Amino acid sequence: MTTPRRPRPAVLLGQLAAMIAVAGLIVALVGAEPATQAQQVREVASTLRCPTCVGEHVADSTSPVAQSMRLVVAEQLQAGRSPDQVRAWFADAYGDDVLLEPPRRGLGWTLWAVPLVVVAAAATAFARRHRGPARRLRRTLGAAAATVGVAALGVWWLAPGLLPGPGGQAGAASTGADTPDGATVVLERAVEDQPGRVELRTALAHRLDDTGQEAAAVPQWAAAVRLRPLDADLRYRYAFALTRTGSTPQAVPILEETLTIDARHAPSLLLLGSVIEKSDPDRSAALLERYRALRADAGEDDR
Amino acid sequence: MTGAMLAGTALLVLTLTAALAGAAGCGITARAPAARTGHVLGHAARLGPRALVLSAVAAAAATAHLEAALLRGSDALPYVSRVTAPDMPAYYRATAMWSALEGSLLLWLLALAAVAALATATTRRLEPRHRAAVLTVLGAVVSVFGVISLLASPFTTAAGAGGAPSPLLRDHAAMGVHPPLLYAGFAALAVPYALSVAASAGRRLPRGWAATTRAWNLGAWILLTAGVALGAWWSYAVLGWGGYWAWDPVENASLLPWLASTALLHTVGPRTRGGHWGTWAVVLAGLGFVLVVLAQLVTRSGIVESVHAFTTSALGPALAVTLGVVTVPWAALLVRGRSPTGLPGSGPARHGLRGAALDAQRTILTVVLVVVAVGTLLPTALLLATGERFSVGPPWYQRTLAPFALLLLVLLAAAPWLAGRPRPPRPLVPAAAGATACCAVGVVVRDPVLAAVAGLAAFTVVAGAPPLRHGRARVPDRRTAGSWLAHTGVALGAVAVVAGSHGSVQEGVLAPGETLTAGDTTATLIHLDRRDDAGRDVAEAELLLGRDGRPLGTARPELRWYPDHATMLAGPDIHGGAVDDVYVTLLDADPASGAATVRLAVTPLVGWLWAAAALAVAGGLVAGAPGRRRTTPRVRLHRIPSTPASARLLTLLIVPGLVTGLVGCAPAEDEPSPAPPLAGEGLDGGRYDVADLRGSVVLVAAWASWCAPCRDELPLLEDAAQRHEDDGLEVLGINVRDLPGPARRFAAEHDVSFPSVVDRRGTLSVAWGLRGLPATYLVDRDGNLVARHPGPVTEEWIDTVVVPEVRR
Repeated sequence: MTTPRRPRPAVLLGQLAAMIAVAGLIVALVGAEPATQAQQVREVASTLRCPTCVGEHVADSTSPVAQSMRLVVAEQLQAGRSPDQVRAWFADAYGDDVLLEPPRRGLGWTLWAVPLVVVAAAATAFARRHRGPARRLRRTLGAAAATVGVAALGVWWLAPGLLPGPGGQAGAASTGADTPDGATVVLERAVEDQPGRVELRTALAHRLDDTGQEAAAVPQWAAAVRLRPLDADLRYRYAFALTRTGSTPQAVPILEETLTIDARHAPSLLLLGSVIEKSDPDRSAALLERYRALRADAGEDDR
Repeated sequence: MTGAMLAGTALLVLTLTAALAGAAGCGITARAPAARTGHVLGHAARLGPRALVLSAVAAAAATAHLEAALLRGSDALPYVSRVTAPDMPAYYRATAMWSALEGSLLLWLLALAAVAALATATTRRLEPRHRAAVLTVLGAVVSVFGVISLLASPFTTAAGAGGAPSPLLRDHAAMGVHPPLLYAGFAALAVPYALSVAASAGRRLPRGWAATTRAWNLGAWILLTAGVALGAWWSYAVLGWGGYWAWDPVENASLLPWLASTALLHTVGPRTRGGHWGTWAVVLAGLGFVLVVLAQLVTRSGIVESVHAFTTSALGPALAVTLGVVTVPWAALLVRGRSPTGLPGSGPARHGLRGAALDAQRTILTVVLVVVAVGTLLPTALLLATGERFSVGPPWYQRTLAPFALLLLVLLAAAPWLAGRPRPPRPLVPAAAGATACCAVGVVVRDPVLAAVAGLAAFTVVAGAPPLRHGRARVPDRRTAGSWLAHTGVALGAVAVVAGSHGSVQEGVLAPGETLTAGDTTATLIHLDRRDDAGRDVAEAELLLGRDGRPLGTARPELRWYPDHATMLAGPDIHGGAVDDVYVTLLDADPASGAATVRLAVTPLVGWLWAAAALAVAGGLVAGAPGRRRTTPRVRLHRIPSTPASARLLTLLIVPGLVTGLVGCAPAEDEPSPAPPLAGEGLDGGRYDVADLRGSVVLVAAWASWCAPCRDELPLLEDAAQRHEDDGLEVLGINVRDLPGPARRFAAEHDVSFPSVVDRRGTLSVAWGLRGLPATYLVDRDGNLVARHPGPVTEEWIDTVVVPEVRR
């Protein structure tokens, strides 16, 4: 038997555990990061029904209408409208059934009221079953707790506008948070593992070009051309990379060879034509003329 | 009628007749006074159950007959040619049986008849008269569905215009297993239903009632859990939309019986009795099967809009009658009772906190069930009653169900103390585990809800762990172990569901070498491949996945085009991990430029969800595995009470609530609203604004060069524009999501004389409520939007809507 004055260690430890848990919850509540703009758009879009699909919301759907709707959501949020205002705008344009949370007015109200009635009935019946011989105070307290619970639920369901919203506007839009180096490193590793795969080489070369590392891309293009020497497009990309890094003289023979493989390769005609414009103007003019003729044949079908 | 059709129909008739005979035979035994078991009654008592077995054999023979025809590809049955294609592999030929309405009804009949036959062997614990009553009900249920099966028989059905089966059904092997699992689980719920009817009729819970109900319900629960989880997994792994549960009416219809079964599981188990369990048990036992029949009505009648529903069939009325036949007698018997006392443990003093918690657990599960049913059915009811359309989607379910899910998790954590174990665990260790988990998740993830759920889950898992060396027994008893496994599954599943909201999704058009980034995960397109594969056109993209510079592997999502069906199916590639799933879908492929439209989704803890389902099923199996029978069950007769007070109260409250809801909120009249803005550069380079045309009646026509029906409506629009030009009718086009070149060529080819505003990204037309092309809107002289016409314009619409507006 412990002395009555001192609390038992179990109780102390229990209190400690509760404090640890509460501390975690408080950190989570206070430190929650504001949603990025993309997250906000997704959040709003996922409460809108895609009008041309069955059972899909706008955030997930791939239909053209849903794509346009996502753009509109992003536009309106950018303009500083609140998610509720955006939703109301869509309900105006498409009717109330575009909202996946039915509106709390008109008949839509029933969809919120009926669950509340169900809960209130269940709580009342439960309270009646467990009236018991408990003291009046406990009974009153229980009834009060149940009433408060159902009332809170009622406010949350029927009039969520009365509750404080989840924080203010989102922080600055972090545009994509691109991690280009990560992807490049992954590609480089893959190339090391399978040096003979031309697709990997090409993808890495494209990636390096796109991220402004043209010099590093040149050897990758060269390797790709070695692996697939008869591919005119690859040869052209290699030559193009060479001209961009200032090694134009090396590009010329490659392009000439490309044109012996495929005399009608338009990009190579254009590139070779412009590269030798100074050194060999006549030939350059002839090449560019051939290029223009090819383009005219192909028509204006290009986008 | 061919011989094969006759043979199949004869087998169906035999199933029905035998089931009727079985019901009659058992019925005679059930009604006979116990003292007078005479000559005739003795025969009936023996023959009744045998007739039920015969019925199951006949149903199995009918199924075998159909399967044989399917596997042989016989053309004696039109159904075979409807659901199979000549090039189908044997597995998909066999599973094609339940790919259409008629065959799936036969499978359902087989499941029911088999359950009735099994029940003849497994209900011996019951008193003979009670058992006879149960078998009578089962025989009657089989008969009702026998009639349905004859109405829509796969043996007599015409070939139909359906063509070959949807490629979706033969795209993945799981689709063959999911329906039989669910059907078996649904059919097993018929036994608790029969027990419920028999108990209500006799107004008491006889010896063996609870044990028999528990055994059948547990079996049904295991099958349903596996079936529902498999359906969710299939939806996730095959459909390619990245989710696993869409709160679609048909999905919900399968969830409702599962919820009833779960509540019943926690009512009739020997350790969870208490807190008015008798009434609950009788109501929940019957409710499960009633909801199964409701699910049949929802799925097969086409009254509810769903991705999964069978096409609209004429069976709606017959299934509605069936629902009435199953529900009304059961409900009438429940309400009829007249002995309000005598419930075991009904004295308030005997409840205590444990009784209240057990009761609360059932109440909350039932509230969840009713809320899901409201969300599934009320929008359809409102549509039928008032013509107003409402959508009830994931946000509604989240808001209405989240508080109860949290309460259930709290009760789940308290389960070891509620289950009446001889030695409940000490709470300190689980409390420490829960607090640590809550704190760690709170600090790392910064999501209070996830932190709370993780804390509760950790508490549940640690608290419920069965003591391995307890007393003399070295092995924990099976029920404790089983419930712990299942509860661990539910706790992990809850964490996975909440954590799922922390995922990130990105979508983009990638050329080779370009990268898409979602969170810290990157996907770089390597190349795009196109091949022809057994009648389908497959595009496959190869993407290199990475995270923080570390390679994660290669993803090869596919896009499969079935030209015969004009159907496109996605083949997502999923890289599952312990922490998250990387889900890559190919949305579009342009082989000319080598560009691919790719969607990259990173969702945390999806794998936990499937592990959770496996744990729950394993828990059910452990708890339900037949073990040594310890003692013969005690003879205990329970009276069950009359109408549950809660049911009366519910009716009292719901009806006025609904009436006020319907009457008080009459839909507002449609008033003409100002037309949305439409201004921008035209195809011809000029600037156009619909507001400038105030004073004229304006037809706003949305079109695009890629929209074939737009071509057909153009002459009508041109004609209307010319005829009513002098009356002040203007036509203004919106060129939606189109490329300038093709759009201009299209306008030139079809002599489009009216100007069109270019809406490259489709955002202008969203303001007009555009759903699909073509669509036409009518704006009056005051600038109000007065009419919308989706689809190609018709002459009738112009004459009845546009012309009166122009002449007004």
